[in-house]
Amino acid sequence: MKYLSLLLIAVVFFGCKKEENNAPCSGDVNIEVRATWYGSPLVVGEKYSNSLGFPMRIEQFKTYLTGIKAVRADGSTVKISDVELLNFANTNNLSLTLPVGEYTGLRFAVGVPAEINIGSDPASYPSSSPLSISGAFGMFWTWNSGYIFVKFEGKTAFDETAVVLNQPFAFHIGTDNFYSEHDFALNFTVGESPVNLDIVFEADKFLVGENDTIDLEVDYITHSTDNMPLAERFMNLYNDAITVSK
Amino acid sequence: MRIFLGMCIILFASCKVDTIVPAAQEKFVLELPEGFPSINIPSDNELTQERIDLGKKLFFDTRLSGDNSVSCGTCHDPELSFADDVPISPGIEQRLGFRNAPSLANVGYKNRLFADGGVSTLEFQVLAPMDSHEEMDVSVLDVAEILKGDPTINALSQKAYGRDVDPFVITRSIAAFERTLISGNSPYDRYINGEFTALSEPAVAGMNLFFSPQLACSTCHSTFLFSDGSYYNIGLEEVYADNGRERITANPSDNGKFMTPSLRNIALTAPYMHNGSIPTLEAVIEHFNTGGVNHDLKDERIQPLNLTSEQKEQLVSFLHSLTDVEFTENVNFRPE
Repeated sequence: MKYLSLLLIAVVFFGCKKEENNAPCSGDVNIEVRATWYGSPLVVGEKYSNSLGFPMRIEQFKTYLTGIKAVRADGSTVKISDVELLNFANTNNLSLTLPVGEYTGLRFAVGVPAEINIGSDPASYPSSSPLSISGAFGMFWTWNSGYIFVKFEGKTAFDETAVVLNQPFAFHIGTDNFYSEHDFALNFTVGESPVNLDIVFEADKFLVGENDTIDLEVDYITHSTDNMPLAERFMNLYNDAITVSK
Repeated sequence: MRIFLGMCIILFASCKVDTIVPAAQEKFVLELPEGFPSINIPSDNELTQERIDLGKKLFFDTRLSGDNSVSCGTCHDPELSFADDVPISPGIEQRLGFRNAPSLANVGYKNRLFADGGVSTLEFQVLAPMDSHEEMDVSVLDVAEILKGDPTINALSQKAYGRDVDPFVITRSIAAFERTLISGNSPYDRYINGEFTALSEPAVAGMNLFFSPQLACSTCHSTFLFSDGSYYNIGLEEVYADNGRERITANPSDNGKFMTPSLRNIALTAPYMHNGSIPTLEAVIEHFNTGGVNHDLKDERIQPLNLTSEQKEQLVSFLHSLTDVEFTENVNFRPE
């Protein structure tokens, strides 16, 4: 969460003026971005059972969120962050302040906008940026320029009693086709009391949704361009598995 | 939403590394052969002698591979027009990838790189072989750390880019060196510039065949590079093991399509095709003479040509006339 200092710029833009009654002009907001597995916190590296009862271990789950903004009651937006690379092996908290007032939603996109993604060169960003070679490590392709928006991989077995998980699966989603904007309605008030918001990725729904189920015995790998239909199915499920609450 | 994206672009762009040519450096001016257009130089990597010198050192430096055994120059040999003489060049531990090493002659002119056009800049391309398990298999971050500890290299980096060695310097300097690899003084070039004794009679006959509408070679092998930079399926395989351009676009209509290679110095870069599957120029001509194998996406211009033995020899003779010895013997392109 290195870019929250940019928030200061947003605050300055909003012209934080000291009111006569000394009421604060901004309030604390904490956004926790987390992943769950059937309602419990997802632990990367832990062995779980999937919907078919087969053992499964998620070994890596990372995603880019960009253009994160809070939507005010008047429809205007306040920038929270330009770009965040979330690694769900770690905790992901965005602690920030927002101008006091009423808010009606959160807005962000999964992935990197096309204007940045096309012809991207991570070496051109300073190492502190999540778009740089060190910041984005493992999250960009070199044989086909572009960032990996979502990396979800691990191992499974097709035997309920298996101890050793030897069937890898990997969903590496990128290309401009899968840049996905989200606009969540969520009423909250920024004032004296801190506001806690959650962005939740329900990982159990990445492969099993209302309208589709990805069978890892058949469909276990995509680097996007080598299997676009599977990438599309995964992203449809993935985008439906994101919720925002307070 | 457009405004939102616009703001993002401005903000993202402002975060990029800001590079200017350090003081006391003069821009390096490329000497271009007659008829060659100027080369687009990215604003964050203006050519200077210092950058080119550093890039050459790194191009031939085996520390750019995971076990210090492979440099860029291992598979891109100056004597072979910066190509290799095997179908697939082995990487570290003799690992094999799946593509033939292309010539780097005139690579600065290319808008897209790799046989499938997956990458658009020379700078970014530098990362690909380092990242590949079958080629150099090393993190550019580790290489940067090693090179930063080399006082000579790091001093050059400071001189060239005003900073310690890092991925930016590695990618920029190698690209700067590669932009100097210009080849345009073959017998063919001398012939079209008025030195009519530069080509033998068979070569002239082959040239006329090459440019004839009947053979249509020059409809794809066009421009001063003998390449139109587009992608074609030429009926090489009935089922392509390497799906070519489709790998990038995910469009089934691009299956088996590969970028037209330049023919400059082609006699030095055997074996041929994206996978090095055709060993000689004679065999390449025979492929086009027979029209290749059937494939739904084969370009319609690939048809049997019914060439005589003499015509085939003339075409080979012409292709040999595209060899630029001045380029392959240029000491500026050799390791020190």
